Amino acid sequence: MAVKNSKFDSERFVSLFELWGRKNPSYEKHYDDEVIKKLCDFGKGTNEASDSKAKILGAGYEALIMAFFIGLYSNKKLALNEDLDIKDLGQPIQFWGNLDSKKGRRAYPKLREYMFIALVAKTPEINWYELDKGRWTPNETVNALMMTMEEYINYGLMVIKEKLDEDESHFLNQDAFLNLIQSIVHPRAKNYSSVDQPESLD
Amino acid sequence: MIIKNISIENFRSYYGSNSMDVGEGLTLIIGANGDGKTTLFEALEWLFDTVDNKPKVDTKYISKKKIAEMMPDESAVVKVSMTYESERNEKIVEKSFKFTKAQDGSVSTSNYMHCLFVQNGSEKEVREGDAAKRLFDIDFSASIRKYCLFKGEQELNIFNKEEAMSYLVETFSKIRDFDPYIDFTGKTQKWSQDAADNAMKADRKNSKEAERLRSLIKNESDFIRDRSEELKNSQKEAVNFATLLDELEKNKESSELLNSTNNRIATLKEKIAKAYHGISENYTFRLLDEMWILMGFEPIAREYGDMVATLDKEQRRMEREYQREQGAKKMAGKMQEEINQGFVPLALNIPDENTMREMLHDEVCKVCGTPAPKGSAAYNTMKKHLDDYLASLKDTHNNEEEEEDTLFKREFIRELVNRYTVLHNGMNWLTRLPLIIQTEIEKNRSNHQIADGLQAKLEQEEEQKRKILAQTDGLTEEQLISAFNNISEWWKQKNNAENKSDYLKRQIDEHRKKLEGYQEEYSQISEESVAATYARTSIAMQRIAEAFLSAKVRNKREFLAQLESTTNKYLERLNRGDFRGQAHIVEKADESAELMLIDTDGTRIYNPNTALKTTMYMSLLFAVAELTTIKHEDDYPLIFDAPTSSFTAAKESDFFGVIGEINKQTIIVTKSFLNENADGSSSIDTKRLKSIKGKKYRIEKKRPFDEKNLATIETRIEPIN
Repeated sequence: MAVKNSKFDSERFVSLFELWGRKNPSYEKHYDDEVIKKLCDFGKGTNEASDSKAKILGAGYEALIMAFFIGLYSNKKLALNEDLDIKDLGQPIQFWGNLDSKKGRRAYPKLREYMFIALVAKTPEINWYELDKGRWTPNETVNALMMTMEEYINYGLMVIKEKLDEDESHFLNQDAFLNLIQSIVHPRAKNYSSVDQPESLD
Repeated sequence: MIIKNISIENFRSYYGSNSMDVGEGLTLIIGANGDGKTTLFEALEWLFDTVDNKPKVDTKYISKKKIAEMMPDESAVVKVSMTYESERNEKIVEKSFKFTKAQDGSVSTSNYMHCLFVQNGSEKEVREGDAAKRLFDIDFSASIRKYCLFKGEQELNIFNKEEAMSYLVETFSKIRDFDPYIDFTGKTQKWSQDAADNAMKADRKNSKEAERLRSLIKNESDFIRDRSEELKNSQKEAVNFATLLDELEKNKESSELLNSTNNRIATLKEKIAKAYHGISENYTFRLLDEMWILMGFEPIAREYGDMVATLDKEQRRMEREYQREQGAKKMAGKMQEEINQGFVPLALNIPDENTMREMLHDEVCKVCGTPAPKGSAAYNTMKKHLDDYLASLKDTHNNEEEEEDTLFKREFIRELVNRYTVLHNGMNWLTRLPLIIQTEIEKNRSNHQIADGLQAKLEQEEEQKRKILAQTDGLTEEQLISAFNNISEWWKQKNNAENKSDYLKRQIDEHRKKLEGYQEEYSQISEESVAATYARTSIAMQRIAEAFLSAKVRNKREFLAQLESTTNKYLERLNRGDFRGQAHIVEKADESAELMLIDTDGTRIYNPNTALKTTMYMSLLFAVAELTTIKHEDDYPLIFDAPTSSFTAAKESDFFGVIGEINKQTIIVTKSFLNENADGSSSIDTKRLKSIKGKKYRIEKKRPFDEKNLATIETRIEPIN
């Protein structure tokens, strides 16, 4: 077989990763109040802003990333309930983790590449040959990836919500997410960290 | 500004006209008690307007002797004037009023005048009233005048007043120069922010997100403003309690025990800070920022790797199959044989051209590790593989039609393959990640243990310190316990305020980071739009304003450091051959500053003797004057009334000797250098005075006088040669 340069030199080749980056994942709207606003600075009202409680996460997408990995590592997808209000985050994936201007935080744009890889590996429905043959559109493919992503996120949000329902301050522990992820990855291992005391908010 | 001459007419004991020329360095005015030293000083205070609420005209200013001499209906003038040179112009500032004696002996005043005479060529211009005041202010500003007249030693400590230190810094450092820039960048930031907001509102597509971010930005800004206010208060509170405890400590300075306890506390605090510094427990952020969340990713990465390898292989197989089925001319023919062999051959570019050439040269198939001598089947296969590859390159260039005739028209699988190559490089890190995380957590845990241990020790030492502070001689057990409780309470309050300040600082920091994040997000909405440009401009302006602010703070520190070092230069000169310690200016959390003496080991000297304290304050004054001269390129005089009352004769001689050498106009009114005679009069100790450089005057009551009658008192000014 001949070694070729891109067959579509005349057009700009838009990679799947780039197409995927332009998307906004959808989630069930009730998670805004039940999870996202509790963990993130997302959509805070005036009254809550004067609340001195520190949020454990920054932008709203950080809660979705956490939820995604919880679903991914649990290997559990949960379809969105179409009967409920569905909304999207309003922050395309391509901006996730870009903000290194926040002091004390580092940008983590590379994480998106790993998320993409996971989606490709975990979306067996895609017929890649049909895509390269031109019988499937890139958009259909990316939609399939997005569905996997949303279902992992949906499962993860449910897990986080259950934790929050038990104890609203659960995730204020700096090691709560670490331990949660760790317990999914290595279910029988001891927790990484055993610092039990929540950070003082005095 | 340099004072050339001072004239006093009918001002209290200064009967008639009196005048003295003033030297450019030291001018010493010597007089015994009641000879009119303080009156001279007060005359200058009146002229300079340095005392608040002092009446402009007062019959108390009038010479009693003059009144006594006057006939009814006769008038005379009270006048104090000063000739000075400013910007090479000679000027005279003058205050005067007329007084008239009535038939019944009472005195009335009139014609108050405040004048400034400027020599303009051969003409003398006169300004009166407010115009005179304004002009004089330019030559010798009212705020500086406040810091040039000092009565006694007590007044010298004015620099420990909060407003004095900030005045000093504001006036004499360059920090004010920053204000217009801070102001300008602040305004520009606001303008560009408003412009961005407006443009963003017009951008319907993003208006919802923009609105959300605007509200977040406002919330964060409000939060930071409120907390900063709170922080200021708790810092003040901490300073107040620290001052109370400080006062207590003053009385215990000799206690060896206290010193060693303090040293141990300082060392422990340092160690604790170091241990805490090594702790980084933001695990939730680290999950994202350091991608710890990939701790379970290795199997998924491998799954992906296997999947794309299969896809790639299968795709190549399908492509060849397709080519064969199509009976593709050249390529398919070439491949036919390979496909018939029943396996999928490697792509022609694998191994690459260089490797193929190397294998042919070495006559070894490095893929399977078998020798392939020239002429062998293996050698021929490798040769053919390379030839096919080279031919395919030509085909690619020459036969475009053939390119179109492929099964796979897109290259998304190749995108996946490329992505795997990048991932493969990170596989080692993914494998090690759980161990990396474990190590980090262990490190934090051990630092915690160290810090906790040190903290416990620190608490013991602080307990010990409180006990030492409570111990005062002669206290009963009960009083001792009560004193200890008091101190413990202050201690607690101070610590609470300090902890609160720390907490608020952290909170403000956190929210500032958030704010910056939102601003950045805001500027990223609709990347290419005008709104984004405005938003980015706004952020840039804010950063510049912050840079100016921090430069202002740095500038203030530099100024204080410079002031401290210049003060020490004078302190050394004024205390030659004597213990002097070191002057140290401490900036406090509430932005005030304090001048203190410290020992070589850095401990504070709480109760220096008055002479040392006086020289410390004077050193600061000289330092300020020196820095002012540099800044304003103009000098101003320092005038002291009896600043050396606490000095021994020897120290006094040294002191004046040094002042005489300093290149600074200084007028000192003093009763030093006088020997008391048997008849109650006094005479100058010319021997001691001889070594001192500068102009010297003697002021003295004209004898004889009636001890009980003020109307017989007349001060005379005589130069001492």
